[in-house]
Amino acid sequence: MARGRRAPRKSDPEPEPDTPQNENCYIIPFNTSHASREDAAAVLPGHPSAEWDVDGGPAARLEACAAALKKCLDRMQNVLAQLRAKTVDDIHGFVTTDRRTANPLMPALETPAAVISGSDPGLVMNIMDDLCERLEEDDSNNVVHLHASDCSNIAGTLKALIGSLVKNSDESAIRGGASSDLSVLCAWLQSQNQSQEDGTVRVVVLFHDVEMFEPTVLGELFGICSLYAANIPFVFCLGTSARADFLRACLPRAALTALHIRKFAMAQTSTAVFETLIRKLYFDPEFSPDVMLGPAAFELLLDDTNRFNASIEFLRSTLRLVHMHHFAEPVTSFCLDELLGQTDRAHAERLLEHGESIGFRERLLAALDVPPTPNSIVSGAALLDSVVSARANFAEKTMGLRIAFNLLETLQKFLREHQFRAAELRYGFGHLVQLCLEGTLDETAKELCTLVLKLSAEQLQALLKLLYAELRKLPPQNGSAEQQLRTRILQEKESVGETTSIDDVRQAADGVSRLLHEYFSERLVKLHELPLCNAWYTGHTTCSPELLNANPRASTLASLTFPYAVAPPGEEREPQQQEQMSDTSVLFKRYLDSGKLINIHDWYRAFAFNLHKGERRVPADTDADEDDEDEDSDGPSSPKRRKRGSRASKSPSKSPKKRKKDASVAKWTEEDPAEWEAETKARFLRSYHELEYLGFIRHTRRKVEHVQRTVFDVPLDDEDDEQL
Amino acid sequence: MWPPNAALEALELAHPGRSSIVRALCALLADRDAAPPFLYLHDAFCPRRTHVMLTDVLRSVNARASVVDARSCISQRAFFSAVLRQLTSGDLELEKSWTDSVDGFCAGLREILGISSPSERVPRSLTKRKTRKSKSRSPTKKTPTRRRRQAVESDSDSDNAMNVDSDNAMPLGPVVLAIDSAEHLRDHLADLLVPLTRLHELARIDITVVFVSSNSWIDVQPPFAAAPDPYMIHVPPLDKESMIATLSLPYAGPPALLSLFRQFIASLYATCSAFIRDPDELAYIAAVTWPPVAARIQEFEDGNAPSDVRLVQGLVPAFHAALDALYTRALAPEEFTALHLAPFLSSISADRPFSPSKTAPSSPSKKGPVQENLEAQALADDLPRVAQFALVAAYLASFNPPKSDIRLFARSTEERRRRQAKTTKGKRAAVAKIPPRLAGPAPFPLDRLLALMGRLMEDFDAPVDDEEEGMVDLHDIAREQAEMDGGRVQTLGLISELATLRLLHRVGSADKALEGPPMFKCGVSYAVALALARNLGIPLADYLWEAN
Repeated sequence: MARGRRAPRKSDPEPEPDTPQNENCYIIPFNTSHASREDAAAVLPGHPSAEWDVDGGPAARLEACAAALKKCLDRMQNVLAQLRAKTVDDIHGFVTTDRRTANPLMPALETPAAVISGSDPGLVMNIMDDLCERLEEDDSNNVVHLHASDCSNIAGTLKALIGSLVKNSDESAIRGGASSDLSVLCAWLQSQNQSQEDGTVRVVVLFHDVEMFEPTVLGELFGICSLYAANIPFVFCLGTSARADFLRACLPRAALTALHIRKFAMAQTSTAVFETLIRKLYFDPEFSPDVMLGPAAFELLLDDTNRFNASIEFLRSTLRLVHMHHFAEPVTSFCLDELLGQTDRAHAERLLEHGESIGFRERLLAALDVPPTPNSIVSGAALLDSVVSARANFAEKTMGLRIAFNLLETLQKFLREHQFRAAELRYGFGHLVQLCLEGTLDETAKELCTLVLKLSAEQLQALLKLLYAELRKLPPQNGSAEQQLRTRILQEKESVGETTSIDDVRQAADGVSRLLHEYFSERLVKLHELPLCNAWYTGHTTCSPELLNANPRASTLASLTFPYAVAPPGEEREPQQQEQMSDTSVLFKRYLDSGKLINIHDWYRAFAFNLHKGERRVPADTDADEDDEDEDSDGPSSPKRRKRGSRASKSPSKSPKKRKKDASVAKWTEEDPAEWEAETKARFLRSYHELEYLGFIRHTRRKVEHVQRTVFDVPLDDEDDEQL
Repeated sequence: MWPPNAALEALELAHPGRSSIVRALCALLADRDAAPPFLYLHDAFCPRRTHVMLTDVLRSVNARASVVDARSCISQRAFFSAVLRQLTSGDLELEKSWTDSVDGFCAGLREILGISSPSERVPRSLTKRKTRKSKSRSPTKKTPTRRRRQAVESDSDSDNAMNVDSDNAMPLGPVVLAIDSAEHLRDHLADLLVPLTRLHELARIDITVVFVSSNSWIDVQPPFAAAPDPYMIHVPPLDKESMIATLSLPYAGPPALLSLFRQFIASLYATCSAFIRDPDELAYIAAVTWPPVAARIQEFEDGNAPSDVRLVQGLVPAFHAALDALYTRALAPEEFTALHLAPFLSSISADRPFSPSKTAPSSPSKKGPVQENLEAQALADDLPRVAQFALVAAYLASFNPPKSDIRLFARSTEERRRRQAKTTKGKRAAVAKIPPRLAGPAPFPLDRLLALMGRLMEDFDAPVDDEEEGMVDLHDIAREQAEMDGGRVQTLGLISELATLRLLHRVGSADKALEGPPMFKCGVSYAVALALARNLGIPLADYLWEAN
């Protein structure tokens, strides 16, 4: 699989204009009292507008989304269970090995310890769960689970270990031994052994997330357990997402020598697991997912898996988000059936013909590629019929695509094995999938088919045999194209078997190449050109990667600096009016202008000035305007400029400019200066505390009435700076 | 009770090379009255075997012994109850107060010993010891300990005066409290250290406390000379003959192979003894390597088997490999057999006499570095790209001085010039200094890691297909991306995940987690960092301040 980031491709279509670009940030409006809760919900970014939707559409889509997602995740679960099965078998075999006949040369009894490692904690946990299930089927295995949270010290660890085993036994309770004494466990085990005929009772201790344990506690525990190894047949299973060598690095030697450590891991690397999952989910002829990935969604998956987090859990949440984003589109109501959430088809037709569904109908017609009729009167039944046929068409085309993709991969692998050289042969699985979903894989197929021309008679024979075997594996009811290909391949195979001369071979190779090329160009369709593909294909847009992998610092700074960019739709304002957006943002702008230490009073004045400037509904007379500009250029509007001023001007409250500014503030507040002052103070305090909560302010004792800045290097557009 | 001669011989046979120590122990412990109150057995190499020897001796002198391991007693109460339970051998219900404190413990000891041995002959023992002591030690040197002991003795004199009775019972052995891994007492039961060394005085009974430890008494003893000096016995490492005898003892295979086994052990000793002095470790290697060899030999019919000498010679490379893999426990026995033994064993065939020079030496010499590289490569394959960048950046941050960053990573030309000029100077100045690679990783703050990582990602994580756009634009995009990626949730999550995987080490205690920036240390070796860098296309050597 190609690693590394891909640049945005020119061939990608432009994202749709209604794609929300700032999904990861949302400013809660201060004046929520004005808007009711429903309104607030309606203006959430990324929410589709209701005019395109049908009545009851969102609920139906939510259900469809849940069903599609469940199908996808269930399949994923099954595939993963198959992948894990062998590892679990191995570990189970190791744990249940009969160790009663020990090697006489061994100086001391060793406690078997299976280290289950893998870079994906979720996968290791699943393996442990499977293993635990397998072990608990047998009565002779006493399974104990230890978690790092129970095991902060050795006494607690022993207590957890012994307590969970003997808690149900009356006998040991009568004995009343110390809860952290392993001899209690010995006695308990003897009583267990008496009830068991063959006497093979063993204690299997499962350590979850070993890397979270204190190494000293682990070392002591292993040391103590080794003292009782003759009486208590311990088996340790240690699940870790660290390297298997980690134990060797952190355990004391005495504990290490007491263990017989055997390492187990998933045979596949995380990349291989990812490949297998994608293949089994979206390119397996035996499974048809409800929603087909688009190139954008696949790129998101591939990029994040390669670069940031290769865990299954991450893949799962990405798929979940992709599904949710997909089902925001109104026409996905048709994803599973054509009933639109109604009980039967007649209701659905009626709903579709309803006057309020006109927006939805138009959208549906556009998606179906039906030329818009002038009066746009299409009966509901006809619409639903075309939806049904579009679904059948899409299902057939995607199935063909899957089979063709697999055949293409077989061909590519065959050619690679026979030492051919071409750029197309180096494409990894990820790249092939990307091309396939974009609909440009037929070009690669063409190149590969030209390579087929160079094959010798034996190679040709082998290739045809391979392809025929691939085709035989398909479910028999498959479409005509594969059937035809199969019979044609059979014919070619026979004819190749008979040929001897070089010309005949070349001719045969030419025939095979043309045959394959025809097949591939028929089957490798562009999914986004199919009618109503929006319903089943996530297409060229998907959710923003920021949702999964945000940069909190950058987005906080950006949304404070440019608040209008994250405003709810419908409330966008001109950048010139941004001061009105939020008080915190206004205060933050002044903060950016200041030096390392900020005088609170100066800050407040600047804030009040800005606030007032922004809130003047009608421009005052020209005098006032000039005054403003004077003020602005002179500098009381920002604490920094005051600070940088000459020493003389720094002396507070006595400077003439200050008085002038006070006067000007008073001039703006025509009605009730006291009330205005109180409100401003309140708003200042509120915004101040918000910034403090966000961590922008640190209190300092270096200077009275000053606070310290914590954030300095904020990228600012020069233009915006000048505007303030 | 002095053990009978047969028992003594059996003891000496079971512990080759230890006859002097066995005899000394027997002499010390045989007579209950003459036993020293505090004995310290120091074996720096294999305390386990010394412990086994001690228990054998105790059994042969018929001692009433309680043998506990300090590791398993994590609290005072557990220790007391373990000791008392062993002494009563389970017949007697322990009183709760006995395990509460040292005084209670002493009372419990007296009670148990008093009940179970009515024939205790304290007065006679006292008189005997007094005479012995006056002989052995100069009367002028009256230490406080001795004075107190005499006081104690006079006490017990009056206490047990009525306890005199017939001598016709079987001669009793001493009462011994043996504590294995005594160095662990310091960790869990530091308060008990002094009372245990003075148990004889405190409990007013004839009891011998024996510490067995791999540490010397100087490391274990409590401060301010609070404990009396023990009767020290140093257990020396085994010499060649006794080591080979020790290792050959547990052999239980067919008698026909015994001579081969002896040669096998001798060869193992010759190869590994320079590095391993612990007989247990040698026995472990033997236990892993011998069974497959024996199994393979037994497959041959008589006469067809390769000669012993050549076979044993052929195994020498496997012993060398065992030093790397088995002694360090890097490989499990099965893995070791499959990797290092199986190829050699399958090369022994009846029809073709094998030549050790051809098959054997080549394999282990290659295996070491190759294996390390494989591990590094596996790590490189399994980690996400950003984590790989983080690890390489962490390696650079740990092994480069912070002042070098601006010169190594500077972007503009003038900064580069500065870097060029100063690099040579720095190199000249640092000739005498220890290279940072040998000095170990240095801690660095998170911000530095993110900055270096951002710079590396900017340079080496650029978009793959660059034909369409101009290079300048592309670089800007890369810088912006790198800047954004540095602060992403997943990146920071990855760094803390790497810390839990011990690929990065978090420096500083957990209490101070919120004070100041988080500090880390690099946890990967040069080989791993190199493999990761190669994977990412970073020329690691160019970014190291001092070349390795």
